[in-house]
Amino acid sequence: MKRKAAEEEQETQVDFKATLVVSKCKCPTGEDESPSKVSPLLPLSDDLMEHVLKFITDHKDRNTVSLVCKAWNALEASGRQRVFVGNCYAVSAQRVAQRFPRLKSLSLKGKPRFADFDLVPRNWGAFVLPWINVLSESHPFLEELRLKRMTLADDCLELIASAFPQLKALVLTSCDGFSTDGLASIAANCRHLRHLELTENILNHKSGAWLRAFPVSCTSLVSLDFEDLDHDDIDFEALEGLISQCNNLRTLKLNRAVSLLQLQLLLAKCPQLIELGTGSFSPGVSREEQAKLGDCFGKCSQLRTLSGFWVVAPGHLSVIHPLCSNLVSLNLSYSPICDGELSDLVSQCPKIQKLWLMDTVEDKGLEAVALSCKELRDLRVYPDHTRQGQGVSEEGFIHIAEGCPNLRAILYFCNQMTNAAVDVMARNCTDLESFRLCIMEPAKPDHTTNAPMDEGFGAIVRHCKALRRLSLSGWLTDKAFEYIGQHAKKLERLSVAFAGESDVGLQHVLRGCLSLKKLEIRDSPFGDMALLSGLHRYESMRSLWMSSCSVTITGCQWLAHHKPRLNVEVIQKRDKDNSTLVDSVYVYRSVAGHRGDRPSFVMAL
Amino acid sequence: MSRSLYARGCPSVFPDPISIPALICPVLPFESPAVERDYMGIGLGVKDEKASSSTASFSAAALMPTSADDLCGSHLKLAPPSSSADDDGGADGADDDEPLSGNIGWPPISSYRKATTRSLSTKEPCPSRDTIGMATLVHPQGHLIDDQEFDASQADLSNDECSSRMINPSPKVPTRKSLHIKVSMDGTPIMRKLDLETIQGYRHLSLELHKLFKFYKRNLSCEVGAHSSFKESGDADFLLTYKDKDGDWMLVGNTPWELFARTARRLRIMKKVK
Repeated sequence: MKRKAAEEEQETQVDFKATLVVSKCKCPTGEDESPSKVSPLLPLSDDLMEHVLKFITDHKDRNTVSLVCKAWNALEASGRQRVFVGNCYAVSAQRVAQRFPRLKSLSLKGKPRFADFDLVPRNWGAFVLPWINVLSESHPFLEELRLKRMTLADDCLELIASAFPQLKALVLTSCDGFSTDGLASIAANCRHLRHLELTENILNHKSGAWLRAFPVSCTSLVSLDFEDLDHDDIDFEALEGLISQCNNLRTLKLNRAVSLLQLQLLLAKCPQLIELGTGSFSPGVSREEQAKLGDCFGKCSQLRTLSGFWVVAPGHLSVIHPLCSNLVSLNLSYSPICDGELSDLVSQCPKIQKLWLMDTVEDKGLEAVALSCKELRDLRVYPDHTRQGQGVSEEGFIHIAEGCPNLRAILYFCNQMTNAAVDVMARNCTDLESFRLCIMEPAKPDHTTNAPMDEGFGAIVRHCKALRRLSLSGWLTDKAFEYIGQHAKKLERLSVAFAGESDVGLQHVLRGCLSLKKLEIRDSPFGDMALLSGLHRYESMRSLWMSSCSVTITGCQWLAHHKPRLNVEVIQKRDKDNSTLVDSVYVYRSVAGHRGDRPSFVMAL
Repeated sequence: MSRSLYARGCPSVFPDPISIPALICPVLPFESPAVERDYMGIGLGVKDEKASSSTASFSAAALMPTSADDLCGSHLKLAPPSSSADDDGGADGADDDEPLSGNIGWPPISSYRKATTRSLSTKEPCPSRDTIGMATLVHPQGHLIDDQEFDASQADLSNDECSSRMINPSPKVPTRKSLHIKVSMDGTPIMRKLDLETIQGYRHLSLELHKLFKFYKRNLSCEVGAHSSFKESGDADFLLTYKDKDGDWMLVGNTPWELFARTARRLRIMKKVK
């Protein structure tokens, strides 16, 4: 049995799906196996299965395991420690708490992604408090909480702090509704806190006093990220004291209130950092100070990730040159630097894999990137909001396409693009997994040929077989959607804006993209027929969002009636005179029924 | 689902009206309303600079159902953007925050990022710093300075001096009254207005004009005195001139910026005679 156990474990790790098919745990009979042979069809004991399951950590794999049979479902559920809920309304908190008694880490995502762009009205929902209320009773030993696009108030944070004494990680991304007071209660009460990461949240009010709330004896911090708290006052002594005590600190991302000299002081205390968010990289200092800073950076030999650079003092970017040769990730997306400075920097960064920039670097800057950064995997070029420069265009795009063949993900905001340029990228960067092109003028054609951008995006889906995420822009006809439906078989997320000609476009996508999970559409001429053509698809998708399309209330009602396991939520402005068009419809699968915390403007059908 | 189901726009599996309460679905098979909806053209066809609502009507093609046979379909055909729609009434120099007025959430930059970059740019420490980069610095007097001069002048460009020219951190309250002057360009019938108070140097002016008149689109360039446009071509297609308070037309770029900003009354982009 022991030998068999070892075999089973190995098989499970390598290709357990095949094992699942083969092993019929409850029905060993029916096969002509001689008793002397070790049969793989003998039932596995519960203990053994539990032991095997410990090695399976990936969500998708565990989900598959739980579908094999009821016994495995129960076993898997009793052992699962990390749960990821992609839509907080798809399941009730009670159900999660009941099914997974050993839950230690919970990830929740709330609002639809278009909430980031102000397309979802405030107070839409995604409240965290109901979840915390349930979990505080059933799972007081919760260790990790990761929330994205959810609303939580300070009293919710206080409840988290008091209910989960073992809390080790709190990660808030794009959340809102709270303030630094709530953070102070977390800091004060969670004695074992290791990770406190805040990214792109929108706080009600901020003051620097929360840093003082960390107990004097706190030594447990491994990562502290408060880049998005732009309070101008900061208790620097408290921060300094905290940093010097936490010897295990690996990630430190500071906010704008920390100046360059203060950064130097902090770095001297923690040279073991792996990820650093510089505060504001200013005000400027003298040459001697710059040299000292350069030395200080040089001592941080393990630093691999840099971000921040909120306001770069002129000419000071050179102090990070000693670090560049090991740098793997660099986020300059808030710094309007020019191509000269960028090329000085990237020419020394051969290992860089993730580079986020602002389009002030223009095409010349991208040319420099393409020359030096051959390992580049993730590139983002954000537009300068003042739009005073000329930004980037298809020239920079082609440079990147030709110079960085290992590209996996690209987000590119540009003023103009051509099909030819997109084609170049499609042919060169065949490993692309995420392609997001945003031509900033809605429905703009290829500026050299005045043709729609169909062929460009068609080339992408044809050549990049691993494509999982796609965002469209520019003038697109139904042909583009036909290409997508035909070729993008692994596509999971699709974002459509100002594109398409008729319902046929969306029908192509819904029929062809079998892996589709999230579909979000705005301002496109898709109506009821398109919506209903996906009737058989929505239950295998996480969600569908359509806003400012031609969907009517009747279509939504029809959908809701025929698919009772889908939640169809409609927002329709009251002042539209007698129009049956809906402003937005949000369709998602749910086992919890319609949500009870709908605001008045959301209709559930 | 097979394609034939939708070939004629109407699936054959519609339920009969009895199965759905009349309250919810009064008309079946339902018809889409005749929709006349122009959603395109916000960035393309906004001729009226005052248009700001997201449902303003535009000059792009109206969308109508194609035939009466399409009982269930809303087969709205969308015409391609016409080239004449390219000459849109783009944003004023002052409207930098909403590049395509009327379009909520476009381009798709998260509201956090937008708010952050906006507040960062109002806190810029050095007014002579170009907004697009630091490689070439422009001294307040208007000429380019190099590194050594920068170090020496770093002390001069102290916060006090900067703050007097800095845009007030709270964008709602302007520090000085704005000074709009008319800008005309040879060959373009529409004049624009530019607020000189928000401009900090000749280079900035050149960029601003390029943006206003969309030079990058037409591959043009304009010389702004000694500081040529960022295309840096000696033989630019246009020349910038201004009318001063005495009524004379002068070449831009020969006077210090401060003086120019005080005396310029109108700007004119003249076609260069080669």
